[in-house]
Amino acid sequence: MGTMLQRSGLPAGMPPELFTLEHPDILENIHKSYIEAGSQIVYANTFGANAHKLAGCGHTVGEVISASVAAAMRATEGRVSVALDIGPIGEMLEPSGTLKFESAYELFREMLVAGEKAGAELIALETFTDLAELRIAVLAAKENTSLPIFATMSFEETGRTFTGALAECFAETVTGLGVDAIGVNCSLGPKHLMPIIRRIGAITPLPLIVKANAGLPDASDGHYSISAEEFAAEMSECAEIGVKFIGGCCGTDPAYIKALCDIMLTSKCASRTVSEKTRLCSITKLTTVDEVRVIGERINPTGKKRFQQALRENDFDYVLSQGVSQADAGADILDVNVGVPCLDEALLMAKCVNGLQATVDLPLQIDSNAPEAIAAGLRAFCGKAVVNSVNGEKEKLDKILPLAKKYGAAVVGLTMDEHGIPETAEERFEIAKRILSACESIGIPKRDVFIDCLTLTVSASPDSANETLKAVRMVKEKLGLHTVLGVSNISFGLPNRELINSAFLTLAMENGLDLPIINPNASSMTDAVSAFKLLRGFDPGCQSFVECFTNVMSTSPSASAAVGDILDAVSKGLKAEAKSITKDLLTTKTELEIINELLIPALDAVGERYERGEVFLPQLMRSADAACEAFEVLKSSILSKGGSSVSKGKIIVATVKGDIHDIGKNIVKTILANYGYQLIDLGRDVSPETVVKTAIREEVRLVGLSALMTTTLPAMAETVKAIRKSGHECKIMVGGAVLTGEYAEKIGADFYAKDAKKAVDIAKIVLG
Amino acid sequence: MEKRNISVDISEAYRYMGGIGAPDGSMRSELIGAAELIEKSALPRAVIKLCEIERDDFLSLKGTCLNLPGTSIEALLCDCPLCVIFCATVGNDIEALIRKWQIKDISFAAMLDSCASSAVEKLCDGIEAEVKGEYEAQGYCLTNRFSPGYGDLPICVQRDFCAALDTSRKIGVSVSDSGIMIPRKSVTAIIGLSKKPQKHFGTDCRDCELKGSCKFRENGVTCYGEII
Repeated sequence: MGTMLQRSGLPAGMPPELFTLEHPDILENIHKSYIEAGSQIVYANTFGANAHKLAGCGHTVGEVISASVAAAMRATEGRVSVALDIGPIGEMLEPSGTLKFESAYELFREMLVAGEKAGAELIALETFTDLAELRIAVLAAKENTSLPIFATMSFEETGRTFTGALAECFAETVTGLGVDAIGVNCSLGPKHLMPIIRRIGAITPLPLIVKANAGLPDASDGHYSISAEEFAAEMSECAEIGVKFIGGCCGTDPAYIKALCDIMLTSKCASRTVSEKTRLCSITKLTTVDEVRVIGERINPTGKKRFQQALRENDFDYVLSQGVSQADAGADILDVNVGVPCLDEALLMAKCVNGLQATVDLPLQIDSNAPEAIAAGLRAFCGKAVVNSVNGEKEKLDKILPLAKKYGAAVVGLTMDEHGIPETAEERFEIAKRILSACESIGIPKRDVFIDCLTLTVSASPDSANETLKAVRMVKEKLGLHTVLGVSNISFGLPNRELINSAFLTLAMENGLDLPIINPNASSMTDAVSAFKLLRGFDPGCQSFVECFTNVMSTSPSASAAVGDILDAVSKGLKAEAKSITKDLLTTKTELEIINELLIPALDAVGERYERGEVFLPQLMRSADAACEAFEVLKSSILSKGGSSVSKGKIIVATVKGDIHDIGKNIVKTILANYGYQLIDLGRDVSPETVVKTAIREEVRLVGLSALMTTTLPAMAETVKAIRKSGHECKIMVGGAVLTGEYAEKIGADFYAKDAKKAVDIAKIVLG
Repeated sequence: MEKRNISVDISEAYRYMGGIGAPDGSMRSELIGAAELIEKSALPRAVIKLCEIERDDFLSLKGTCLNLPGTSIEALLCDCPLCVIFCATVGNDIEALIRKWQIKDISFAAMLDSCASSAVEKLCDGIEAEVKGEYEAQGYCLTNRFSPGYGDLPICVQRDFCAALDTSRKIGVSVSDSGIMIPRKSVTAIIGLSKKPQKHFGTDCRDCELKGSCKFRENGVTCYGEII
């Protein structure tokens, strides 16, 4: 279409979709020429007809789409199908950009509804490079229309898109959402797309699509490299792969389609076989459950005061750090549970899932008793997740299985029901059967049903370990399902719990446990998994085992703990030392004594050296890091004694609306936190209303705003104005690369914080 | 669009972090570690285009909707019938890497961020050298490399630069509503081509819009490492 529009005189810079309004006849003729060449589906000229791209053009989405679909329908006269063509919005979604899920959804919804109303017969979502964005478009299509959905993405030769999405992850995720055909379009010529469509075809049973470019464009004149005949010849491999829908993208015209039709008339589309393996994925990582895979259990507030406090205070960095450390320790999947009484679990779940998928690349297991929280987690997660959990209760199955089905997730079924946990393996097996049948009847494939036979405390009932192990074996052997087990419950109430846990884990794996839920940071557990994999032949050449035990990874340089004083550790930025010295100090001093008498003076000393120009920002930050380690020790210590958190006053920090730079803000946050202030980090791209609302609700007396671009300074001014207008009494400090003292004054801020040290001085003045 | 190599300049990265002079022992070794991670995770890509310059009330590039307002760009391109525009990026994977390290270790994340800034700068240097080689051979003299935000060329023209180069489709660079390029470590620039010798103003603060508020100058250095 683009090629033809340019030839028909589309002016430079004009959105192609508007061309239809001016020249519907030209559009109609272009479609006709494709139909004459042999096209069986024509795409209406609607690719970029979203409200974002059409803003300011004087036409509505509805107008443009109905004119474009109508032009296509006039050309087809019912002979071939008309597709509503939808491409990327043209703005990046969070976390790379600032576009929100809901805004993207609304932009797509508007196009989809208009397209269906105008008479389009199918939806073609194409040229996407961000899997999260494509996923939103699919959800919007499924939830607002009843049309079939074709979904294609544009890959580089590596099989990844510009944003990093992996071909296999695209296939697994979008297949799970229940579209009608998937594949590739644009970016490369047929020859280079074939290996990628083979990879996608190995994952999905859905019909495949290939719409290739006419080779590669010449860098100087933009002309594509291969002729219609060469294009058709290269595309003929599609028949052998079993691709059902073929076509042309950039650089092709009706002659290419004609050549394609000529060559394809004589070839037969091969049938395909797809592997039946269980796969989970994030956007960038595919995890196949064909050997033991570790599910990390640490993101769970149950019985953890520090974790509960973090959730109550919206301290997501703490939650995310639990995810990062488990990923580094070798977890394959992360369980996410954020259930704390009196907090909005669904909201927290979505926030945590979003934070985690921006920071680690592992698939997630959404763990909750509340269907709303499961729904929120599944909706936010881009990839193939696991739902933890359902059980044999009909009500649970009825509520939760449709969610798993809708979002294409795997599901954990606990072998219990309204009568509790049965004692015998046989009874648990019966419940597993019931769960499997409920899953299959709703369309969740057997490979995506995992059974948890439940670990009971062995000290309470001596035979319980045997029954659990027996049930695991039965489920594995007789039902052929993957099994999940939370392991550590076994040793409750016993001394040397780690020993019992790792021994039970090994026994369970030998009986068929695939997916142990454990603490991957406990080396006895991950070691047991490594040893099991080696002994059972899952580690060819013992490679992973040898790597794991000879290469101690050291990515973050930190000195070994040695004796010294805290002042020295902080001033030199030695994290491990700061941590161990603080632990020692707790035997002789209280937490507050350590903070006020040692940590803060140590930081002040570094701050003074910074001001004198003896050390620079990098060294100041290193010191703050070391102090931060010490602080974490103290916080945990206070909470373990039942105390409340340390707070010398609350400070909001935020990067203003439209701005996505947050390292500077985060440095300031770290340093302020070390002085005992409670930081409320609202993140980046924060609207003035959010800042105002939070300041009022949390009774905050100091607000710090950051902006890094000249283009986002007006948003800072607006935020200051909104705070003043609300009447909430607080001081405002502002900072960021392009800011000046004069500008800070001009927009009505109280302070200009030129760096983190200055921010501390300001906090001391305002909050003491 | 071929694969390009990048390298990080450790001293430059240290300067971007607010350091002055050469980083010492442990700081230096950490920065080297950060630079290696960036070099490994970078997916350098660029799109380059030769354009004819049209002159009306202000400069514009033929066949695009890119207008170049301001006196600085006019002075730069005064002898030039042609120019090369380009956009370069070190890719999106670096963003995920920096996000992860912000959780693990904020100082190291800041080092990664600075190393990534240096990497994209070095990528642009490489492209400039390439353009120079190609067009000097054809008898052209090149002006300095000039980016939106320099002099009085507003940063908001970045959006039209990206549209003219079709960066979203070709190298995965888009521009947010507030004019920020995503991935963040991306640069757009223009180089004029003339048959007359071009005066090079060197790297100099005189034409810089930020000279009044520059954090580097406040610390007694320039962003390109000269002691004032």
